[in-house]
Amino acid sequence: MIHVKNLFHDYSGKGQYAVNDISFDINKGEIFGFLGPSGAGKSTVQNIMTGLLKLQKGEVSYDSKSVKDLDSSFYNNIGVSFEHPNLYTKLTGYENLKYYTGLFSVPTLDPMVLLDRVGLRDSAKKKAGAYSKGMKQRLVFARALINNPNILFLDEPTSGLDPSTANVIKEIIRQKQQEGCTIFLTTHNMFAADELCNRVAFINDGKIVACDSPRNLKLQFGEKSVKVEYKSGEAVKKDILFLEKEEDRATFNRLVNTKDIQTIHSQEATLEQIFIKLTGRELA
Amino acid sequence: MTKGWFNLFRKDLVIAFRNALFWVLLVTLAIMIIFIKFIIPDSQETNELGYFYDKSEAGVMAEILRHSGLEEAYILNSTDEIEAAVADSPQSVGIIFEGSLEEPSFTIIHQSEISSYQRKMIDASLEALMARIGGVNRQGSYEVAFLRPQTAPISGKLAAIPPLLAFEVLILGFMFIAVFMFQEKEEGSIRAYRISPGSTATYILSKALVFLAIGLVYGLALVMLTIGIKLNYGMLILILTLGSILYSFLGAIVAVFFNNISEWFVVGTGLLMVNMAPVISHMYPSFSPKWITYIPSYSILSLFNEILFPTGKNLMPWIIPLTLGTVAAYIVCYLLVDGKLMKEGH
Repeated sequence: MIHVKNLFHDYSGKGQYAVNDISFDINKGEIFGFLGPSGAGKSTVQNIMTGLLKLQKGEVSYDSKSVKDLDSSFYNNIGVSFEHPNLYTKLTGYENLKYYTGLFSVPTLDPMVLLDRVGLRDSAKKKAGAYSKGMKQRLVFARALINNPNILFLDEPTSGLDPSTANVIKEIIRQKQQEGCTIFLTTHNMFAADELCNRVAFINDGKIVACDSPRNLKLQFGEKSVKVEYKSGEAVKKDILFLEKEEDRATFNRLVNTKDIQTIHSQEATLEQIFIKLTGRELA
Repeated sequence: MTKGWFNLFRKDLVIAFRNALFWVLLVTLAIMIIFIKFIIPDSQETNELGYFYDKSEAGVMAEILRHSGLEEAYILNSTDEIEAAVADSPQSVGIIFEGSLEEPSFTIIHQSEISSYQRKMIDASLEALMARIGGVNRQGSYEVAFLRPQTAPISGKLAAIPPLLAFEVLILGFMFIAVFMFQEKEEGSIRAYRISPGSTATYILSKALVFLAIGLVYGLALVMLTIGIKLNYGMLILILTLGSILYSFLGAIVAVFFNNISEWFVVGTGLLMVNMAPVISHMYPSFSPKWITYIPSYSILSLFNEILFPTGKNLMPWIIPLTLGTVAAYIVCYLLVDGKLMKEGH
């Protein structure tokens, strides 16, 4: 559905590429995570995909139609949630959404229903300038949904939210996916990506260093380990064993055969650990 | 398009009402109307006093002035007295007469610098006085011809209305559109507009419409409450509309090059000052160098003058270039806003 091929972008015009030969495809109804630290090139790619930045070199197409040929009606079908809340601060939360509905030529959702879904119904008549960062984030997220889009671009949608509110947002994202919406999720929150995404791409210094499902990435790059708890006399002891190593595998077999085993848990590496392993950089 | 236009118009109007600058302008309007209507007198009377001292031996001039009806209080007896009188009254003029009626000599005493206009008036008055004493009748020695039918003299305070319309009402659009654009850049709301189906034309025209609505209310209220209702309001609305839209476009053309009001300030206020240059031509019609006539406010000011105080001039030579200028400004505005404001990465 979305096809990105050999994408480059150079802000300076001096051959210093912020995006350097990036290619990926996103299938319809998929949640595609774009993960990387600040300055890695995530937002540049998203901005090119949404037409905010002019396509310099490479291809970006939606159902085989190049982003260069898309007209303003394209924006009837997409929703974009920005990392930094960008609202009319002198308008109320309700007025912000109401005004935005008037820009679309497709049926839009009831602003009050959306405000209710993101927990802002009680603050609907409050000016957006007086909202907290988390409330602004939710309002921007709600605005992205107002035209019931087929494609959602979400930039750090759970940033600055408490775990409970973040769960509400994640639930809405899952629901949108079930409705057939394709979602491009830009984040440096590996846990959110792990929970939500069908596939993720790791981006570092403008290049994609890995792209696969979270599970496959963990299987491919994570070191598998097993945590075993067993009784040794009166005490409960714990060992972490890496089964790829012959010595650990022998220890594991010995424990299972000779000890009173309390628990056995297989352990996978987190996406963050894999990212560090691949790039040598942390995400935050 | 209409739906989108009205939607943005309504949003910008709400934001304008919630902007402190709007209320400052409203209070300014009220103050201007009160001043023009009730406080500024119809004409500025300058109480210039003339003190006279006849230093000639015969004292004939003093006698002539007494017979002509000059009060005794203004006929003094020494140079010291006349200097003291002038010192007490800054706007007064002292005149000392010496010599004879055949060979008169006048010395003028005044406190501060006087204009060449005032000096020539005094010269002319003294020359006329001497001619009258000599029995020469100057009346009928010249004739005044009028190019157009004579109109009623314009009250001094009402003559300020055309410049107020041109430099208060029209620059609303120039300033407000910049303020709105900077606010949208600062809060980032322009980014949300960029990824919506809203067009560049809708964005520009909806803003211009808001400032036009405010400008029309402001301008019409100013004219109705000061001059009255007996004038060509159709033409006034047309020029207010053209002028307001033109200045909104010009304001946007300038504002796209800046990120905030601080960056804009020097260039913006500089342009506003240049824009006010035609007021000099308005006050001194003989000062109209070619470059001043190219400033849009020159034509607009002339149009307001003619609409409010008609003299029968043909308005088309001003209206046609103004209309063409507005269309040209829109095209430039569209290209700049579309290229610089609706896209990122500049």
